[in-house]
Amino acid sequence: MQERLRVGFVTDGGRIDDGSFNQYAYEGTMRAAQEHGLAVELIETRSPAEYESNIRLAIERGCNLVVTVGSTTGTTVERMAARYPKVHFVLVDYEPIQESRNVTGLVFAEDQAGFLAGALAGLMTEQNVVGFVGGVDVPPVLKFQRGFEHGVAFTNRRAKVLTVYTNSFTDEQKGREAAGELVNQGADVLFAAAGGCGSAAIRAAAARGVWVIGSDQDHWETTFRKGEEPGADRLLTSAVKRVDRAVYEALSLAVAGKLHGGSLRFDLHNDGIGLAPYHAADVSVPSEVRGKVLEVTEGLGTGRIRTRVGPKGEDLERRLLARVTAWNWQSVAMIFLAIFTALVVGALFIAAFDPDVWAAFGEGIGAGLVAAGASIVKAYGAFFEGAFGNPARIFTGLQIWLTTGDSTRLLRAIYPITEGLRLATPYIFAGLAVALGFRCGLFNIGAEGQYFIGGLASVYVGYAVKGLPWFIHLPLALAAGMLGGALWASIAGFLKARTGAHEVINTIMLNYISYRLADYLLQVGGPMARPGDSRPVSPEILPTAYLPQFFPNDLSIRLNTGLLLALLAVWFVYWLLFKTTVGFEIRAVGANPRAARTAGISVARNIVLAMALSGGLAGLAGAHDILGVLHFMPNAFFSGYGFDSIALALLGKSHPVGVLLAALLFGFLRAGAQRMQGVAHVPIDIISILQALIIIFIAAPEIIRFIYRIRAPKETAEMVFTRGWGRV
Amino acid sequence: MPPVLELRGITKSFPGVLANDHINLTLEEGEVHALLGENGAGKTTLMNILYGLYSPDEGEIFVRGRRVEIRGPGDAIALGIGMVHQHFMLVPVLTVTENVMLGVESIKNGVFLDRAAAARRIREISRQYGLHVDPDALVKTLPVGVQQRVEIIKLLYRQADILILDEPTAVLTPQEVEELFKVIRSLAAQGKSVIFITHKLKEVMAIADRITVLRNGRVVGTTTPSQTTEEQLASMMVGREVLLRVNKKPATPGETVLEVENLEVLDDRGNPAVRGVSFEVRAGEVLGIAGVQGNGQTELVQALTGLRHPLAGRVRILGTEVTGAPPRHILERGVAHVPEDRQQDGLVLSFPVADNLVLNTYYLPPFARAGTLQQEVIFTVAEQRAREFDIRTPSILTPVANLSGGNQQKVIVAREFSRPIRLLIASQPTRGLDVGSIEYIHQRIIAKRDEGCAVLLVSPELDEVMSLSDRIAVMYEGRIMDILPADQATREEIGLLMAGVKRNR
Repeated sequence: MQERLRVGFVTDGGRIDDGSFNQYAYEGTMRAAQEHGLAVELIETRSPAEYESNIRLAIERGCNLVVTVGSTTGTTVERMAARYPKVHFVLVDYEPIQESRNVTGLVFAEDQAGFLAGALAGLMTEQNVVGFVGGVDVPPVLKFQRGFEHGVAFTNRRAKVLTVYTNSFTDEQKGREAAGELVNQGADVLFAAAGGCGSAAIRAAAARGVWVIGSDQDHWETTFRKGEEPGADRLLTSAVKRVDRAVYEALSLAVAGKLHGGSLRFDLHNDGIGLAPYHAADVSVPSEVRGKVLEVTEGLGTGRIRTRVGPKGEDLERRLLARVTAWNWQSVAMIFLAIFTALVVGALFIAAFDPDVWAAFGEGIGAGLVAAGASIVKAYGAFFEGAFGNPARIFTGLQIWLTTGDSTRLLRAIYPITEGLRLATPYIFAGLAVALGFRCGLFNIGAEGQYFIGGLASVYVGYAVKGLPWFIHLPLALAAGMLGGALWASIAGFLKARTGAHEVINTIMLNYISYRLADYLLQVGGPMARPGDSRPVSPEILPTAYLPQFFPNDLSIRLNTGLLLALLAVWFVYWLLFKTTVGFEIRAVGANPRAARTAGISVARNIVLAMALSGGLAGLAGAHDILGVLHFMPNAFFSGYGFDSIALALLGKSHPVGVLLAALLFGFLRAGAQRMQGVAHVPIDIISILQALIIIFIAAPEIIRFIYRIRAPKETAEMVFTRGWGRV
Repeated sequence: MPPVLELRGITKSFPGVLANDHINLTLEEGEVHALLGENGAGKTTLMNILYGLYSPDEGEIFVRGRRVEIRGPGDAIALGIGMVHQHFMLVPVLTVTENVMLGVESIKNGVFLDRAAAARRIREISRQYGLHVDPDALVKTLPVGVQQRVEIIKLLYRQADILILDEPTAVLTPQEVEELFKVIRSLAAQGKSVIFITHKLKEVMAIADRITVLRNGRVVGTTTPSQTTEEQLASMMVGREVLLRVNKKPATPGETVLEVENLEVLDDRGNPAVRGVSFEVRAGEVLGIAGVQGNGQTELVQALTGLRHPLAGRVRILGTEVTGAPPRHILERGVAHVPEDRQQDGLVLSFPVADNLVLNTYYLPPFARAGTLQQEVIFTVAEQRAREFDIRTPSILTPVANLSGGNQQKVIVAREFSRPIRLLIASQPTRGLDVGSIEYIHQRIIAKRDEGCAVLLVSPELDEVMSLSDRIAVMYEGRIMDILPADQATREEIGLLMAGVKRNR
């Protein structure tokens, strides 16, 4: 602040002697003015309607720094600050939202003040019931309340806190009623943070003979007029915000040219808050109570004790709890029930297709049932061992490895797990691809084709580009796979955006084109065929393009670093969808394209973009299988991933983490099924039946609700999967 | 004789809400009984109980003196209770007759639908009650007012004699409302009893024999039009004094903000909807566009906001040409748009309140930095806006779909009015809202005007246009018939212009 300061003080609607923020802010202003020789222009606002014009008036009169109370008017002032960049605004009790250089908010640690009041209340209560009267649940009041609750709990575990909000800072009648109600319920210490309404509350409670604690300023001076009002002897103390000191500090900084935009925080550490003197209650507060309060004050000041209240008054523990419970537990439970039910039904199929079971039934019902049970146990036993390995063998393998350093046995034992993870990897990519499309209202049924094109592109770069070090060759091959899938899918996106042609039809058609394209490229003598080979396959890719194996010393374990890439993709899609403006647009277009367009979002651009991203992910699935597993491309590359991925997106509710879990499930299902076929001779197709059953039960939750008698939850926002025909 | 219908002590609670609290209501034969209350007062819950969609926690229902249990719409229909929902339940591609027959088909020769017999009955009903409709017309070709008649005929065809009409005028033009009232009077005169649910005071005063006012799930009182006034009803509904007229100072127009010159716009089917419209709106004034719905207002607003490409003409905002510019370009010129259909165009219903509050500013600082959303800022601002604009929501993370219509509109108003704007284009800003919300939104619009914002208000509600506007333009068949200063315009004159009649002054 280079020029001389001229300070305008504008009240927020209260009078200058309101015994509250306006008065104390003014006192702080005047103290700074006297000390530093500043000119002060005072304007009292009589009605809220005049407020803006009063600030303008102060500026017209030449003020270049405006001090005002911002609890209710902060947003208005911030708007004006943008219009008057040369004027600095100091807002009491308000945290600026925008980052502007000329707005400084003065914020107080109400949670600490409340905590102190609570600690004292907890020590003074005899009935173990204390009361809190709040005005409106704005952050400062919430911070008082939560701090108070935690303070009470800190000194007196058994005490109960009763809370009433009056929804007013001015209505004295409501304040008196709230106080009466709390006292009737047994509260013998009452803390109020509700402006004039709160003053009335503590006056009424004091008249009933209970201890009272005021807030914001020392109520001995105001509510009880220096002790002259009846009931003054029941005022324990007040949880004070030193508004005068804060304003004085801010102005002193301004004089020194050091007042910046943002907020200045006032807490115990810099004496910005604290407890007022005990005044007449001094004789009634036992010395051990004083000692304890001092101890708490010191603890809060040094940070040894925390109030556990967030900056906007949120209860940090409760918030964590709320985050956890915000999970829709019922829908999680539904998924597990669906899987369980599918396994049960699948068991019936297993028994029904086992000739031994039929033979046993021929000998009698009992024998039949026993045989059926044995068949199911054998099949599912093999299944789980195939999916997760044999715990005993893993344990011995681990022992051998730890004692001798020979990992062969361990690696053999964990082979099933690694195989499940390897099978899950392309599922993750492809599931994410479809889920991302769903989020934009697009039904990308062409993940299969994009997988093909991704495979073709990466295999080409893998064998045709020579002489590169692996750290260039491998990323290049991956990028080629991704780009291939992305371009392939964006054809359908472009057609949808331009002509309204439905992406379901176009992606199916593109699938066929991609199969035939691969036929042509890989046929014997074709452009991408392996020279001199009688099979329609591509050449082997160079080892520099291999995705590195996790366990290079046991190459039968096919798990490769593609899994890490897939996990990275999960994180990326989550971040993109929920944390970026790009994702906001994609989700808005998916949920309501008309509203998105009205809000200025380009629907066409987002459709093409979402389709390209989706195709890129599907292309990565193909690249993974080429670069990490096969190392060449056979003609019959058809995998079924493309269609399973739709099920994955549905199962994972189009959420990246959900897709990850669903992909792991499918990966382990497949791994288990391989062993089940080998050991129990159950056809591998049973796994298709299990997958289908799971999907049916997820897609038609009414079946599960009916079986397990679960009541439908209250309506929740509907998930959008896809939209109909036509130009958007 | 016992009343046709009597409800005694009906109580229904939902988690956290007492939707109906010991409600008593009687309906006499041949009576039009208006059920008046704000959105969320419990009117619809009560009627859904009567229609068997909900079962009450407590209370009894008597039909013609006999105690009944209504377990579903089937029971209700059997008792002669019929309901016309706010959103019609018609199959657009079927004819009127087929729609009416649906579910109670008459059969001839054992297999074939007897359309002719049904059509005959429909014609009889039409004649008897003055419900003019062509039985062979396809429903999708009929105007909304006529579709509503089809719904009423459906009830009469099923021999209902207690008719519940849920907000029947919300979708109608003033003329159609008049037609509907004639029908209701004729129904009542022939012994049918009607429950008329609404929150519009004028209609209640015009049509009801008795009025029951609900507030917060309780009956506040029952009265008759001759014993009460609109002001009294409004304060009964809202629980406080309500300003039915907007207090405003005379406008002080400044520079021209919006200039429209010979604008021509086509509708979805490629027919001309706006045919050479010119006008301007200046800072600090409200230009109201009156007219029966469907006379090109929708397409005009879409062209002005970049949602529809104009065929010809020019649009300038603050001197800059924006004809055919994309919506974001126009929004960034300082244009706020309160769209006609708030659920379709104004909100993403599945998004939380907080996201809807930044639906067109999410990409600007402080809400986004380098392409990442600043969620803490978005939430903080949302909490402030919710407080400032009195949006009643359990939390700013609640999907906006779960809010009442009035609060949904407040979300849009909060979003649009919190940006630095120079021009406000408000299309039917109070459609379907209750008295309290209307009052609030009107005050906000006038406050924007007084701040020096130019306002273009489009509304088929003549009262709204007349009370808010400084100048009134009347649109008819895509043209502006005339622009009148609001203080000199009479209802009669505007009404004639709305019908396409221009008198020489």
